[in-house]
Amino acid sequence: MKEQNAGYIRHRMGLAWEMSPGATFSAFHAFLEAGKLAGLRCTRCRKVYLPPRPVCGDCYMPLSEWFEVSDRGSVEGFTVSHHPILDPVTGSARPTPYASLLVRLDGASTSINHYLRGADPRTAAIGMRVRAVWREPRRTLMDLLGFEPTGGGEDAAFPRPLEAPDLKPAARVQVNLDIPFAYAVGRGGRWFCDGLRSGRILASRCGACAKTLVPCRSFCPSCFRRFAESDLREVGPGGAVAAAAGAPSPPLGLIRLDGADTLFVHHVRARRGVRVTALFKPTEERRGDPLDIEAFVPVEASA
Amino acid sequence: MTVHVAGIGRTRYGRDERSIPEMVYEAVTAALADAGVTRDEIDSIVTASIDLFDGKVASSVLITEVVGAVMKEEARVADDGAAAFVHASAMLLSGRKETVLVVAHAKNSEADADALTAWSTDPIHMQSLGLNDLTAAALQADAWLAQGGDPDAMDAVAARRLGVAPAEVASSPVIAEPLREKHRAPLVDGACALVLTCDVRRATCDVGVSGMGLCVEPHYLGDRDLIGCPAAQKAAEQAYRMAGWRPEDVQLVEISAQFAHQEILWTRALRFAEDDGRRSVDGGAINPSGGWFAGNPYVVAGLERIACAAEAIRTGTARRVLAHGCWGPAGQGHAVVLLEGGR
Repeated sequence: MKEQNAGYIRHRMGLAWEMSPGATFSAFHAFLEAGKLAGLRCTRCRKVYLPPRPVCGDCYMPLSEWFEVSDRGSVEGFTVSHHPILDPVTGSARPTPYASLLVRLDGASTSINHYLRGADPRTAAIGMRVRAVWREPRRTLMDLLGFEPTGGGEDAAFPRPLEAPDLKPAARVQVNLDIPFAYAVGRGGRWFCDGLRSGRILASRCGACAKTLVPCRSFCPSCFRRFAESDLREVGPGGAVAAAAGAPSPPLGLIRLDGADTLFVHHVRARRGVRVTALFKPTEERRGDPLDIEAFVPVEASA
Repeated sequence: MTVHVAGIGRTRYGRDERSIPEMVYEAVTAALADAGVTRDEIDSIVTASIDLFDGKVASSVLITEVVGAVMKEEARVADDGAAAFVHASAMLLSGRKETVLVVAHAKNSEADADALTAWSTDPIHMQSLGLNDLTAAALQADAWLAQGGDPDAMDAVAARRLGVAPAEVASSPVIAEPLREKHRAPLVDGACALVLTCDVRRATCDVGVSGMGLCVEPHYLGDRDLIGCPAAQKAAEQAYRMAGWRPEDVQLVEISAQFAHQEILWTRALRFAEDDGRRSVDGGAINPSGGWFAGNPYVVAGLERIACAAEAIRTGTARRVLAHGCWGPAGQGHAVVLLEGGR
C-alpha cells in the first residue's frame, strides 16, 4: 500500500451546489407528475425537442409551444457494452453486458439515450419498438428506468398540443459530489514530499537566477532551467511571518524561511513579523505531503 | 482596422432563480438587439465561465444553443470575461472574423465560492492547506499592511463603493483577518454579453478598442509580488503601448476589485495613483459604476467593467477610458482594455 501511494498526493474533492432547474425544466417536471412527457416545439422549424430546452439552437428562437410526446418510440441507435461502469446514481457497478439506446419517442424530433431493460442486450436493433419503464411516482427524468421492447407501429397521435403551463422556476436541487483524485507529484514534488517525510523543507537553487526557490521544483519558473537533485537546498525550518490571514478562516501565512528567496505558504500560529519554526508531526505520522508540518509556531513556543 | 463595441446586454445582477441557459439567453439577446444584428451575423462566439462555479465538467456545454453557437465557431475561456474580450478582439484583428459575440456568466448563489476556490489551487503544495480566494486576498491585504498600507484607506474604499459610512465597514464581521465582510464585494448571479465588430456599418455606437493587454503571474502564492502586482502593470503597459497613450490620457477607469485593498493595489499598478494609494478614494473618475462592489458574479465582473466603460463613452461622460478585469487567487491574472470614443 505504501509503495502504491509513493509519488502521489491524494485528495477527496468535496463539492456542493444548489442548482436552479429553471422555468423550462420545472414545467417539464410538472407535466411528468401529471403523467405526461412534454417537449417544446419550435414555431419556425417545428422540431419538437425532448427533453425540452429554452431555445432552438438551429433557429435561435425561444421555445414556448408545449407538446405531449408518446412514451413509446423507436431505437435509432444502440451499443452493447461489456465494460462495467459505476452507476453515478446508485454507486454500484452496472452488470455487463448491457445495451445503451438512442430512442426517438413518437412525436419527438430529437432522441434521448437510456438503457434497454427486460430483454437480452443482443436483441437490440435499429428500428426496434420500445416503451419507457418508470419508477412511480414520476417526478424527474431520474425516475425513467429504461426502455423495454413493445409491439406496434409509430403512434401518429403525437405530438399533441398541451396547454401552456405556469412558468415559474421550481425549488433548487442540491447536488453533492465527492471525487477522489490522485495527483502525480513529479520530480520536484517527489523531492519535496520525501524531504518533508525526513523533516526537512527543500528548495531549489537556480544558479542562473541566483535564487533559492521554495518549495523545490522540477524547473526554474523564470529561466526554465531543469533542476537536478544537486540543486536542492534545505531551507528553514525557522523564518518570519511575512503575512498572515487569520480567524475565522484557517490561519494561513506567507513565511520568509531562512535561506529562501521566495515565500512559503503554510498554516501559522503567529501574527505577521513573528519569528516562527516548522512544527513537524512525529516521524511515524508523516505521509510525505504538506500536512507533515502541523504549522509554523513561534520560536519561543517550540523551545 | 479598429474593433468596435457594437452592443451591450446584461441581466440584472442579484439572486437569479432561472437556469443558467435561461439567464444567459437574456443577456445575449439584449446585446444582439442593442447592436442591431441578428444571430446569423455573428461569425464567432467567445464565452467565459468556470466549471467549478457551474458544477459542470464543461460549463460551456450548457449554453451552446443560447449563445447562438450551433454550427458556428465557439471558443471558451476559463478566466474572467475581460480575458474573453481580449481574445475576441484578437480574433477580429486577425482579419478572419467581422463580428464576434463575447459572453460571461456565473451563478454565485448556487455554491459557496470560497469552498469551491479552495479546489482551484495547486494540489501538491497548497490544496491541502485550505487556501482559497478569500484567504489569498487576506494574505495579500496583510502583506500590504506590513508595507505601510493604511487600513483606514481600505475602509474608505469599501465605504465609498457601498455607499455606507467607513465606521460601518470597520465594524462589520471579520471574514479572514485583516478582512471584514464589507471589504468584499457582494457575490451574485448574472450574465453579460458584448457584440464586437470591425465592420463599421455594424458599429452602432461609437466605441473603439485602442489598446489591450493580458498577463498572468506564477501560481504559487509565495513566488508572487502580491503588492506590486506585476501582471496588472504589464497588462497595462501593453495596452498603453498599443494605444500610444499615457495614463494621464485616460479620463475614466473601471477597475475589477473584489476586495477593497485590491482596488488600491490595482489602481496603483495601472498607474492611476501615487504610492499612498489614496487617489482611488478621492478621485471621482475611478469606478463611477461602483465597480465589483455594485454586485457582480465572478467571471462577469471584468466584462461588466468593459460594458460600463463603453457606456461612459456612449453617454459622453468620457472619451478615453480604461477597463480592467482579473481572476485567480489574489489577482493572478489581469486584462486591461482601453476604449475610445469617436474612432
